[in-house]
Amino acid sequence: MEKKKILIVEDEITLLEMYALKLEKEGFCIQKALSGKAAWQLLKTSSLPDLILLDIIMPKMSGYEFLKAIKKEKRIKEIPVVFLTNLSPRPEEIAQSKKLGVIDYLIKSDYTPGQLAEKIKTYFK
Amino acid sequence: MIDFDRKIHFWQGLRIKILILILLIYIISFSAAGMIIYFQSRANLLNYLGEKLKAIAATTATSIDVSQHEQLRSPEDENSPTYKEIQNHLKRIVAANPGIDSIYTMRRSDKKNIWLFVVDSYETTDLNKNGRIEPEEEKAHLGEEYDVSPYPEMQKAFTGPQADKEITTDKWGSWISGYAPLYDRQGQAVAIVGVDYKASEYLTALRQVKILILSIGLLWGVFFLLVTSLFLYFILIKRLGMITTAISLFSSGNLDARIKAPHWKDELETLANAFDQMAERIQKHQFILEKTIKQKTASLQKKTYSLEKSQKKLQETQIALMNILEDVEEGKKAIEELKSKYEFILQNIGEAICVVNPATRIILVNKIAEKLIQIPASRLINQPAIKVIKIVDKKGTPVRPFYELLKTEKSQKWPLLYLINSQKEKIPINFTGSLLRDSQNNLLGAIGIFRDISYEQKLDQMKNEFVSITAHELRTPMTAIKGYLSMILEGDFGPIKPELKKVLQETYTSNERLIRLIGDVLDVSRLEEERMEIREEVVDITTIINSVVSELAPKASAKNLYLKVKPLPTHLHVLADPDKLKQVLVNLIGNAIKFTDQGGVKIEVELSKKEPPEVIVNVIDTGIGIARSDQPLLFRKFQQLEKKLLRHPGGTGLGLYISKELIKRMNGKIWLKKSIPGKGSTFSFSLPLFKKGEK
Repeated sequence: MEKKKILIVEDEITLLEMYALKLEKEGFCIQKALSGKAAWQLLKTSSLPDLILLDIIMPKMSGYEFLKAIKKEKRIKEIPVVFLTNLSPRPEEIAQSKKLGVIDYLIKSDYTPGQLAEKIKTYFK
Repeated sequence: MIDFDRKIHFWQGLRIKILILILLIYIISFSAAGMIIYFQSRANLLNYLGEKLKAIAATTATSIDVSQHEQLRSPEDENSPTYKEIQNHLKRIVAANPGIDSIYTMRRSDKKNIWLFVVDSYETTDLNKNGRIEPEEEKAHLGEEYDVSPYPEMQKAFTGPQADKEITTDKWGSWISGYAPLYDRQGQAVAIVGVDYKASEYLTALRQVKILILSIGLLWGVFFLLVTSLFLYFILIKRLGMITTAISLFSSGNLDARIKAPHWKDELETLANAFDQMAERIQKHQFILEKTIKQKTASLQKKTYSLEKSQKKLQETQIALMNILEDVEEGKKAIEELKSKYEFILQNIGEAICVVNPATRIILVNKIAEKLIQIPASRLINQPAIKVIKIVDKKGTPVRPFYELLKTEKSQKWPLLYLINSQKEKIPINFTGSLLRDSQNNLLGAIGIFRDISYEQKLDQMKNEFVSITAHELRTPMTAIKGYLSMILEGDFGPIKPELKKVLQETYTSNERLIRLIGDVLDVSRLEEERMEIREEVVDITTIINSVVSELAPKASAKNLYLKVKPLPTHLHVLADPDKLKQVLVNLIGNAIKFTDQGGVKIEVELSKKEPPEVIVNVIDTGIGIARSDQPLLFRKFQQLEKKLLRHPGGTGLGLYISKELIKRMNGKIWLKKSIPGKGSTFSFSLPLFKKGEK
């Protein structure tokens, strides 16, 4: 079975490295982006990932802005996106996210990296 | 006033009047009857006399020798024996019939209605003092003429016997005469016989009849009058007397006077009874009247007395009032000063103030209110509040705080409303409404104090952003700690010593608690600022319970506890926010598991019997229970009851407070049903049952 490729967009380098470390251990191929802009370039230049883990609060370009941008692109917009944030969502935020094609909304502090890996595995089943 | 004692003169009395009337009637009727009887008797007498005279004349006529009689023609024949013979014959007949004065014969002459005497029975020899015979005593001589024209019966004497119907008078006197014809051998009436009856005799008889009639009438009249007057006395006068006596007694003041008529059975009895009834009534009314007068008099006396008293008091009050008036003048000045002070304070107070009367018309606004509404006070005063002060809520629905205050008669606060001023600007305000009452607690109106809270709102927003960002910023490092610790513990960085593992585990748990605390603090801050959005959805409570139970099942089984739901007959629906409901259930069931070491947790759902029906959820554990003294503190913020129970770390002390606030916002209630230390606790909450057809 081919390794699933995951793009993690996270401005906090500690967390980015931590998730990357754990998910690679769990057998995923990881692409790391510290900003929306970096993620955008990755998407344009390399092969497309199977899933995007997207932070919301990021400087310059927020997760919502990035999401709106990629949803305008052919092919790219087909990639499932999971919000991974520390913002406690309001119900209308979740609804809005789902409308934008986000398949899940996860609170970082609720999950250990191991739990996150398990969760991601369920998306590919 | 009628003088009942006035003596009625005998001749004016009713008795004599009636008697005179009766007498008059009697006299008139008796006179009429007497006349009739008299005239009838007279006619009878005349008739009888006439018949008798006719009979005598006829008998005489047959007894006279006609041939002899026809021989007597010349006056010299008067001395002839034939004349004497016939005269004597006639004299005998006169003597045989008393009352007859004379009988004579007559024959017709050549002249009309002039008859000639033949024989006359009457002859006198008496002379008067002049030596002559009186003319009326002179006999009718043979051949003497007699005019019969005044005597109709006499004229018919040649045809048959006749009699006078009235007394006739001639030169010889007054008579009643009978006549009969004297026939010859051929049956020819050649002469008549006349018989004179003395009128004086007849008149005497007539007088006797008169006397008889009068005496009978007089006798009868006396008797009649006697009976009538007796009758009158008993029937009328006596009774009238009784009535008069009673009336006079009554009118003189003896109200007990009554006629008490025996059974007269006539109009007088009716009159008497009517009087008695009237007297009875008058007496009764008199009695009532007297009583009323007595009462009125008494009350009048009382009133007069109290009036006098009031007058005295009034005078005293007047004096007191004069004194007060002097003081008032001074007081007025003081009040004016105070008023201007209050006015100054009111106008310059930092909050907008608006006062309305009970009809919600504005009676007062201060400068701040004017500024906020952007309408000058002159155009606000006396206007209906709703017309000039437009207020809406968060959703834009119009709100009428003044009307609400006056309607509910309760002071109220609206933390957030929006005032739409005359420039159509939407200004966030905090509105505090109170009722205005006077010292007698009469409602005078309502006071609205409101404040522009734009600045506070901005601050709030900044605070919330700060809290969110802080939470986010705190969460990031904690997530890193949590992540790496979990990875270490999971052996991602190689094996670790058991002692280290234990310490790392403790660190992990503490970090978890910190994460939860941040979550709870965020919730509390949202709840307190009314920013927590609660959705309203029709939720199947059983489904929610089952999902929470399956989520928490690992925790229970880790402690070897049972976690079960008592099966429900039907699916019960409530109107709630599914996520918040879940949060509450997680909190309650989580706590139950946390504080139970033996036995387990059971969830029961029931339907209340009261109206409107509610769904009640009971979370029953067999845990450590809560001391009675701690029970009132349960639902308060940061009540770390478990601090005492060091074996059970991990709580934030906000869970029950958040649950309470959430349930409250979903129109429900939460309470500790029962708790026995060492035996267990039952926490319950209720939510209104959703029935199909409701919105």
